[in-house]
Amino acid sequence: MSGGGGGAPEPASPSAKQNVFGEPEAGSVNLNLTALMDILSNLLFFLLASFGATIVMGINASVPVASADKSDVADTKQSVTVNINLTKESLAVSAMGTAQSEADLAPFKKTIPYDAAKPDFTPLSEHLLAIKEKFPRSDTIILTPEAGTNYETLIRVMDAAREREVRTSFKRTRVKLFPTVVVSTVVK
Amino acid sequence: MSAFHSEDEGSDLSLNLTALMDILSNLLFFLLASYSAQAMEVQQKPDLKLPASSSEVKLTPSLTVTVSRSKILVADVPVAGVEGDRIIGSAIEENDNIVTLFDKLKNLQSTRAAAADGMPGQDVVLLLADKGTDSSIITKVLKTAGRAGFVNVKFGVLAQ
Repeated sequence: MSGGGGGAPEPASPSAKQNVFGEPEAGSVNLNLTALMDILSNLLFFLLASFGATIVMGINASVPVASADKSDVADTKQSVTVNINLTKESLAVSAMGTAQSEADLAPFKKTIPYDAAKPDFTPLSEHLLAIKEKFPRSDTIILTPEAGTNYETLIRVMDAAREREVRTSFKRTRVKLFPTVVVSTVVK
Repeated sequence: MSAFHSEDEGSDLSLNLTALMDILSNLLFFLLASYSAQAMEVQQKPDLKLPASSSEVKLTPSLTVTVSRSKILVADVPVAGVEGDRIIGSAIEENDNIVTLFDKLKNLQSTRAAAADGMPGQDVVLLLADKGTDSSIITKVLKTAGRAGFVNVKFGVLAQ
């Protein structure tokens, strides 16, 4: 390539092409990238195929433990522990708390029957929101599934009890309801 | 001369693959980065369909108890069978203890306790159960795990 404008044509000899250090300039190199392309394509297809595996998330829960100094039942005025009993026909919700009277907790006892043999989670979520509004420091639910209910229903109840979307005039916010879950059983 | 090319167009055609290489490298790094970012993934099995959930809690590797439609496994080792809403192939005690599951979990718990004394997450078990599993089986498994020292449970669910 000519550096200047005009004048005598450059000599044809390769020795005329020199870099700033006076070394002969290398000619154009043609890399053969076909093999590397092959490797990369293989890796890419392998990774894309592996993406078919299902991504799993988690729901934290615990099992009741016998303890002399600790209880799952709420003991302050502003908190209650919600008990949800899952049966084959309904979801029975009740609130428990050692700092409240039975009269205080009675309005929060509710049985939500299944709609066409399927549990209805919207009224459950609304009822739990009402409990949360009355006792804002509550965060624990005790789930008691009866034999005959399936695992999917248990998970859906945990979803409904975890948080709820609340719409105000301008925006939607997610309110945390009862994220702490204890799975219990019916005492025979 | 062929019908479409003149002979002087040359049979030695060299493609410039640099741009394509660039795209492929970017994709590769993106996929590798996503791999390290995601918490955990599980291969779908015909007898294990996890329920979907809106939970966004990422999982950390922990001891996995799987309850499929046909068996109960601890770290992929079968310990009991499942038939409908019944547990088979293991004795069930009056307090709902699944004997083979309890023995396996107790063994693992003592091994872990000896290996990493006081490390967090030792009492956590990841439960992967088929969505159609009867709750009575789930509660029996949870009770057994609790008795063996695994009082905290993470339910594995599909991200919605």
